[in-house]
Amino acid sequence: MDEIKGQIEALLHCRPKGLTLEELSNHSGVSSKGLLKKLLNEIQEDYSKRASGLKIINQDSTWRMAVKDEHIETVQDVAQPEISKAVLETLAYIAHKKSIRQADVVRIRSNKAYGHIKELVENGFLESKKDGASKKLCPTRKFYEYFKLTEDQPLE
Amino acid sequence: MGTNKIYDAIFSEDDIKWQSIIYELIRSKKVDPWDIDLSKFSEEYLGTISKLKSLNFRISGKVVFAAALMLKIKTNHLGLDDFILLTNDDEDIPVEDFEYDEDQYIDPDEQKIMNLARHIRHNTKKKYLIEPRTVRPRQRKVTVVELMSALKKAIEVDKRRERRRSKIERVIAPEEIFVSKKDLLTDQIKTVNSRLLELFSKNKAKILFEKLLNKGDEKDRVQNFLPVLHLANNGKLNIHQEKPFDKIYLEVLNGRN
Repeated sequence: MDEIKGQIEALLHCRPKGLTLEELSNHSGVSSKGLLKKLLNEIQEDYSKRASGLKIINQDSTWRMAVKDEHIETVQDVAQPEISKAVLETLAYIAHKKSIRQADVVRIRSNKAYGHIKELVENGFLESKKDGASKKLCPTRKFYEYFKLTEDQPLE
Repeated sequence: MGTNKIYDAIFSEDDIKWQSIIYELIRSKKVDPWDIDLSKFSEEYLGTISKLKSLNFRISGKVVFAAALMLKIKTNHLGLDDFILLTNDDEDIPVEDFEYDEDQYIDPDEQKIMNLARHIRHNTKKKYLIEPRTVRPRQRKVTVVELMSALKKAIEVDKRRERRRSKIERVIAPEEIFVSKKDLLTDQIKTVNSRLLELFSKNKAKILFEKLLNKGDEKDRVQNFLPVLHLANNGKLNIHQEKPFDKIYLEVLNGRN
């Protein structure tokens, strides 16, 4: 079991964006998803118990290795942020407005905002609903959880 | 010399022989696989294709397969020994991962390729011949402080664009240059009409347009000329100008109110 755990750890280390159970199964040769999940949970617990700077997270069915929250400040200048500067500005603007039409965001943030919005919707930070000819955008629960904010908390 | 033989083999020889020729050349050390220029393949291929009178996908297939084969050889850092293995059927290579349909005929050359693939997999697994690539730089979570800082910047951009937009709108605001709103225009027509009545009442049948103006600037001219055009269109007066850019005269029409 320790060997498989090592394999999983190596795979998670080599793929910063994370792997699904399916991918982990393909690469490790462990066909039982139940066993994989059990081992992943054990690795996750191991990491949380020991004074490691890393943690194992399971987000949107993807398992990945990440820096523990308390060390983010330490690695701030070393590691790239998960969300690029321009995309983060667009996200912050939408979150600040709580709910805004895509057309209005593009008017303020330029045509590049289309790409930013697409990325943010794909990553689950924004929800996009049809609103006439345009779309209505609002931050998702994932956004509030990620930044440890509450929905009633004004962002300003 | 040897390399040219490989090109000849691919483009001229029949399907069974050409692969054997490549292996033989490499095995007998007449060709160094590292010296084979893959770009030359594409040149040779294009040359052959241009000479053909009809499509021959067999040649395309051979080229793609040969290029893939060479690329595989290079990228996997295989030496000559691996090729010697291809021709040695007695080599003991574990076959646990491979299942073949015994009834299915396997081309001897295909078998050699499979042997090579199996050998690569076996060696790679056992000796870790291929080192894992350098890990991509890791990303970190974005902090709420960064989010706030991004928001500050986004709001600044918003304000800057708003300022720029209002500035542009102020410059081209139609109501500031042209009396475009219907109500405003009606008022303007009434005002100009009463001014004209006043001027024409002084026994003048013809007056200069300039007499209507107050400030005499562009805005004033446009604001007065537009109602004049409306009045002329309604048959209240005539507009007369000798030549373009000359003075404009307004003439009273008989029966005007």
